[in-house]
Amino acid sequence: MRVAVAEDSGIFRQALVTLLTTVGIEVVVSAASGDELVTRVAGDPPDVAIIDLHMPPTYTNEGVVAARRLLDRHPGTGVLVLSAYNETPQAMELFRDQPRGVGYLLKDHVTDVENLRSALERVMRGEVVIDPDVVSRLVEARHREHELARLSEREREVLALMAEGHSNAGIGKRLHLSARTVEDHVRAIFTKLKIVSSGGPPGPQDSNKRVLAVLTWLRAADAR
Amino acid sequence: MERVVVVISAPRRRRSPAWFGAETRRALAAGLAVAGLALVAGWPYWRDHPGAAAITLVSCAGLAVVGVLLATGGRTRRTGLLFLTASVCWAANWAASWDAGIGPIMSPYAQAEFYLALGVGVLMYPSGRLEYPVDRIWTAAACVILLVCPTALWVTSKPEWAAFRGESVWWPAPFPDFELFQTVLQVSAVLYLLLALSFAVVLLLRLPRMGRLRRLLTLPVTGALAFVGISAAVTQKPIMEASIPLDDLLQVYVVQGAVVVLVPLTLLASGLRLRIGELTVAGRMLRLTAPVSVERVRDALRDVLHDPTLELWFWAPMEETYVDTRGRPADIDPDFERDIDPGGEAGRWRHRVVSASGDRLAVVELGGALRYHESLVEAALVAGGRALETARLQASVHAGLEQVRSAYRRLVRAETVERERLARDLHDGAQQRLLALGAMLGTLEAVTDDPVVKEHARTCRAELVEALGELRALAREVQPALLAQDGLGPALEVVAERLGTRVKLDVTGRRFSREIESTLYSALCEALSYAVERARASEVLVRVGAEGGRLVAEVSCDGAGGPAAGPADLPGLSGRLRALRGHVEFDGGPGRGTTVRMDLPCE
Repeated sequence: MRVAVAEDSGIFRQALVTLLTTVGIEVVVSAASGDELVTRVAGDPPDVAIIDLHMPPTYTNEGVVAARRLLDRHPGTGVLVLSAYNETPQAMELFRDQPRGVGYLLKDHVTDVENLRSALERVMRGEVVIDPDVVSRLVEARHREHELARLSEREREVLALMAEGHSNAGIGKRLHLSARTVEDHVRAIFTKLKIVSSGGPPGPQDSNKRVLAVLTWLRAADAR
Repeated sequence: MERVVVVISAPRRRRSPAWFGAETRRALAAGLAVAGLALVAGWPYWRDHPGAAAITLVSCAGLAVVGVLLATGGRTRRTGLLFLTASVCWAANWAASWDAGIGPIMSPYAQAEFYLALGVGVLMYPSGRLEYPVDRIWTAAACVILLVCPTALWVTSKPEWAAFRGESVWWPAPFPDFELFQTVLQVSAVLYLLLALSFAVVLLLRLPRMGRLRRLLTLPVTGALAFVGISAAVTQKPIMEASIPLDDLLQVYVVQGAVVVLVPLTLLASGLRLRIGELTVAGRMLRLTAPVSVERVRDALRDVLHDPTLELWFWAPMEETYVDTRGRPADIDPDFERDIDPGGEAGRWRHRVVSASGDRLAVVELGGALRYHESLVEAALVAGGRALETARLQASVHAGLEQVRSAYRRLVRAETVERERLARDLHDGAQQRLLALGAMLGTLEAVTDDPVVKEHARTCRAELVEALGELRALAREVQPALLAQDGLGPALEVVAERLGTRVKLDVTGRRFSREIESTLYSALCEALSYAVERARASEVLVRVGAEGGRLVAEVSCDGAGGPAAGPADLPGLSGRLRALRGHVEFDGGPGRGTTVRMDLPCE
């Protein structure tokens, strides 16, 4: 797997590149800014670009901007945005238009090699990756406690994995369930929570659009 | 031996009352003189008409008295002299009644110049100048018409045609022509009427351009003179015919003279009104300024001086500057020029007010119209002196508060900047270093085959993640990155997600200045954690919206557990908001829930 990195902090960038190289992932470009990365990968796009969310000059959403530009030019490339903070609005901003091959991972989880490798692989395949912490905080935020109470324990686990961007097969593998059972759970969740997906009827097959629908539902406060 | 003689004269005792001074005596003497002149000039007619004599003599004398009185005032001097001239002209006009000598030929001139002097005198009242172009044009036209018409009269006629006896009258008549004479009479009659009507128009045109106070003074005089002018033109019409009897002519003069009495009477009334205004201004000021407040003193001055544009600044000795009624420093040079905008009526001027001990007290800025009524302004300021001194103390307290507030505001601004810098330091420095350490531990974990090392590396990483969490919580308290980028709504959403209580958010998408957003954010965080921790709320509603230049934020919760909230519970919050001229209200009590309402200006 060929990877490009954009990260303004030299020390973290260095450590990240070492980590990736150690576990056998080839780092083709190591840039200090989003602009630099977009310029340097222009001729030969990598499989996945890892981009820091907070970079100069404003330290706000430079990562999202760079990810957008990169995906515009190289639609086949996967983008994994790293953030030091668990900020849902930023993540939603990233997935708004293009729920394909993008991921949002907290930097804390990057230090776990297996976590990182699995996220990179999923993004490369065109899946959506959402950090489990983001999802669990949304689920725990109790915006929707009445509706969530209708779900069984197992259904809640499926919902969380769905929100993290896992496919039915991925969910099945993690929970040791058959593909058929996962499908039944997904359909039940969509019906119980009355989630309407832009991807078609309840329980859509496209897991990426499904992620968006679930996240939107989880985030929506009653007042909005 | 030389002797020095020192003569000490006793102070002259004042015998006459105050109002009967030299000016009054002079005016009365002038009145008597003019009345005497009128008596002599009209004697042949007065013998048979004592009533007409009385009216005319009073009218002449009254006009002369008012003229002399006005002539003693600075600005009204010219008007006064013109009125005096008018009264002499009117007296001379009666020379026609002798029906002999140069009296008859002089009479039409005297009558014409009487009206001219009266009209121009009123146009010059009270500024002493012909201020508007229309005034000057009318004056020029009147001068020409009122000289040419009487001249054309004797040039084209014989005295018999003009109501006089031929033999005893000095009447050159170089080109007597009856038909031409009749034409001259008709044309003159029309011109007089036009002059009278245009004079009324000129007077009306002046009114809207005057200040309120001056209009109050001028309106009666204007009305009276417009009436006099038009009635003169109308009564003149019948005598502008050939071969009328002399008695008819003189009878018209009596009527015209009687009407003219209106002018001095209204002028006297206006003068009295002004004087009464000056006398009552003290009482009104005292009434209007109790109890004293800065705004009330200004409003009282506006009221008694009839000038709604009046502005008042107080001297703040500590700050060494003038401040406005709200205590904000005003950009006024302590040694300012009196006339800031010399534009006559439309201009503005400033008047310095000093205390009884001669210290700077205040500056009043007034409309140009009040320039002509300085005595009234002076009277009002003297009457309001005590109130002004009290108000100045209030103003300087305001100014002090204002300074404290702006210092606090600078502090909040500095704090915002400092928070941003601190948050960035945490993000760039400590956090990146810890994260890099984590990645290095991850690398160690990946390369080692020793299970003990692997286990240790994993434990270290877990500890590191804990430390990062603590660091981040600190950074978030300092300044969330999301606030700067997306504003209050998204930043509050993150806060709400962490609270573990159901929070409904209704937050405007509008952006505000950095210090407002930062202040309101930390205030709302404080209020939210108060609601959850102290009031033990299970449901919280946060509303933030801009209403008419003010940003209003409301945190209401169902928390019935705690005692009623008050400013003492949230001291940081109240202080921060007050620094930005905002304020906080608390509402609620056991069983009613709690509402914290904050609002601050956002323009």
